[in-house]
Amino acid sequence: MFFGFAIKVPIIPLHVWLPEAHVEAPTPGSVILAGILLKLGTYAIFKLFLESFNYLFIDLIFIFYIFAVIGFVYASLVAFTQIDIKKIIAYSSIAHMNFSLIGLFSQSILGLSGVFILMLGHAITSGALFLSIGVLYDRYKTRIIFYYVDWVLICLFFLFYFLFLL
Amino acid sequence: MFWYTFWLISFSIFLFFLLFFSYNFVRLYTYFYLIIIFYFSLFLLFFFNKSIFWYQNIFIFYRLFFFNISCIFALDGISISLIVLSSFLLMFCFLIYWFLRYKIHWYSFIIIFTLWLLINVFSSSDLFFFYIFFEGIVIPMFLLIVFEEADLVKFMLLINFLFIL
Repeated sequence: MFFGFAIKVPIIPLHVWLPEAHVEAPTPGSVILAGILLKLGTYAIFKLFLESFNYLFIDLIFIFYIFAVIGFVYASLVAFTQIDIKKIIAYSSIAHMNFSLIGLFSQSILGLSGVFILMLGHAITSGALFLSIGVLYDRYKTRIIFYYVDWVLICLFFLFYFLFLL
Repeated sequence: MFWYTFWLISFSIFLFFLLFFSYNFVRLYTYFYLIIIFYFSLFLLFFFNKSIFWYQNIFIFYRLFFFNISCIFALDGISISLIVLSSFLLMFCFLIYWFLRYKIHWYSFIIIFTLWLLINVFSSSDLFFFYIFFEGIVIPMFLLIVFEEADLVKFMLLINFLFIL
């Protein structure tokens, strides 16, 4: 059951579905995926494995720490190499969710409250980013960032808004 | 809490019958409905009692339908905040379809159904129902993603996906 939730989070060896789904999905699908469905995995892990069966996981916490740190660094580095703008946001959301796992297994109230504030903030910002990407895709008919070179000339205010969200 | 979920169920069933109405009517009706749900979730947030160290708004179904099982729905602070978040985001998602699509029935049904499943996931305190609704969310999401452009490969993906469930 934990692997099912780990696919939803996603913890890093099981993350392959997320960028592909974001690329294939329309804009509302991406917003729901990044905004809510990624939070479901973290919420389920919190609900079942930390609230109910906490004693099972005390000895295994260092394994989750290792996976979360590796996933955080790996997803951030892979996001640099992408040229599809939806894949960049998808890998950055993978990095955020792996970062939230560190706080989730920190066994302190401060860590848990930080995780849920991070989740709410990530939901709002990534939803707004995917909405902006939908606007861009409607204008440019492409998601490759090399074709966005004249973006500064056309809509400067929108560029500043996008960078503010980032 | 009971009327909250009951209203969502009744609406998602009622959407089947909305096929005979005009597109603009369905569009307006669904959007006002989503706004009302969002206001309800804000009421849940504002009337949340912080001094109680236990679940709130508890509702128990005894001997549900003919299965002879019972289930518990209850809310805590985390789930209320996530319910507010999901209703807020789904309202915006429907606003995107307002401008992108003319034939809106299918999308409005999917969004309302997703919202109903999400509220049930965040409010259920029962492992069985939690897992059912948790897995059930994947179905409307998959329909939302895949049936934008019908394709044989995507149809085969659907069959694979149903096997995975």
